[in-house]
Amino acid sequence: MLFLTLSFYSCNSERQKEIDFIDNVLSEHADLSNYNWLVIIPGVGCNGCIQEGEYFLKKHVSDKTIGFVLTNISSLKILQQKTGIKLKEHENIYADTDNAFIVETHNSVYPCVVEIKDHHVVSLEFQSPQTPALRNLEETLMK
Amino acid sequence: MKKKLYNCILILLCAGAFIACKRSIVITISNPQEGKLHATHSLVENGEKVFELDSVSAPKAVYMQFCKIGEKDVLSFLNKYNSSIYLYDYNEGDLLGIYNFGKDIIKPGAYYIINEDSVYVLDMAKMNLTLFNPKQNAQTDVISLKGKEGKDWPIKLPQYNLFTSNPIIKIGDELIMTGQLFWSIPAKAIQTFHFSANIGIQSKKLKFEHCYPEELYGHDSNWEGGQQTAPHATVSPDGNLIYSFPPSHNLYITAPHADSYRKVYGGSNDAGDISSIDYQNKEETPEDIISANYVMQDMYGPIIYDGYRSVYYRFLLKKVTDKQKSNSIPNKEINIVIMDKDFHYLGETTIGNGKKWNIQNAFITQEGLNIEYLSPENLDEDHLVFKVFQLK
Repeated sequence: MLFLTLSFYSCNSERQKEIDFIDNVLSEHADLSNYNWLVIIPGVGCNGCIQEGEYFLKKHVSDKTIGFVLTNISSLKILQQKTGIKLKEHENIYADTDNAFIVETHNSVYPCVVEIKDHHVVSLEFQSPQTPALRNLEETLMK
Repeated sequence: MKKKLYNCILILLCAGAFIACKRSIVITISNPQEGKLHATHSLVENGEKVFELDSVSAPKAVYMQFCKIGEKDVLSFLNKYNSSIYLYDYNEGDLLGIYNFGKDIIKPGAYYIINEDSVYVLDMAKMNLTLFNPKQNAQTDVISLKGKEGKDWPIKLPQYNLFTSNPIIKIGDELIMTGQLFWSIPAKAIQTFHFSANIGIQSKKLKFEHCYPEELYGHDSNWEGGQQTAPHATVSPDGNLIYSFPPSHNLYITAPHADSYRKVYGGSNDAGDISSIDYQNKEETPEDIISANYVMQDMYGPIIYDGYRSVYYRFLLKKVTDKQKSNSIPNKEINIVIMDKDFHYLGETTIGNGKKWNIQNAFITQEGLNIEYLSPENLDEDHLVFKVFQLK
């Protein structure tokens, strides 16, 4: 029981740390806090998960309720080649060249789906081999 | 009363256990020459080289090699996006050709051009070294880097994060790849884990060599994260390997197939104490603590020998003092320590931070030390730009 409580507390505190971190970064990027959702896609990390993020970007780039943050990018030019999307033509894509959105946890290698209400982060989930955050978001958007 | 005392002891024991759980054996490496070295030389930026890129290639190439092919000075780079090596005339800036691997090589990570017929390519997906013949557009040989280990080879054998300034090295008839363990070195493996792979070009024999120095990485010290356990290598004029370990002010000299090091001082006048991470449960070390250990301390990087001027250049990534930037490696200022061929200190030059310079792409030409410059004007990523530094 004690072990379960400690595990729960540990996971929960890490998630809260991630929420606080993104919320703090958002306070310095006020425009991005106007979206209902933020999808943060790292350029380096879990290859398959990042590919899913890029595919999601391609499919939902016209959805103006979603803001896309590209962080830890090795090349915007190659990303545009891979996705066929011209970044300058979409106001809801933000290239985070300062790497401000890289979360300071082991989850920084995964794309992240952030839910925003009243300009603050209310929840977030990572697209990892264990957690299908992007599929969950698609299902929510279809409701 | 007895019950109270018992409870008190229990609480103290729990608190002790908790504190013990969080602390670890911390190795601290001091710099005996900090502030005592006298500079006679420096590096001065003098000229640049610009190479025009096509629509599917970008700056910050993951791997490059400067070499002579025929009479030409050739600068080549790896394009992971289309699995190719691009070759440019270094002096004229013209694109000479492209070696495309097709589907033979799944995930190229590094290469060594022997000549126009033979290019060794590290395939990170298959974990092998493939001999590729660009003229025939075919692979002609494959050497597995997994040795005889089973499925757990990633924890028993080195993994490779090679780049231009920590390249595949050729000494005689052997290729040497400096790999690493991507987490702390377990005490029981300090004398058995070898980080360097030695491949006989003719014999095709694979041998793993060179252990982590115990005084830096032993005693189950916590060096999580992968950056602090990345040795960088270069070759001395007499064919020895010179290793630069990120936390050490010394350099470790050895020969291929040797099993001991000779240590020489090779540090910076600016670098201070460097310590391992103070966190007992290594596997559970929080990412921000790992990051701060690397970013907020001085750490050494690649070392390059300049055969034209008989000097060594060793990169130092200086500590960031602003806690707000404790997770950002590009914020580290870069010093280049200059040493003569006998490792005597000649001086050092600060060039700016990693937002401006990509020291992973640094190499020597007759003109000087070339370092990739990340130009803020190059937003369209149409050019590969190098600044050339000369010794003064």
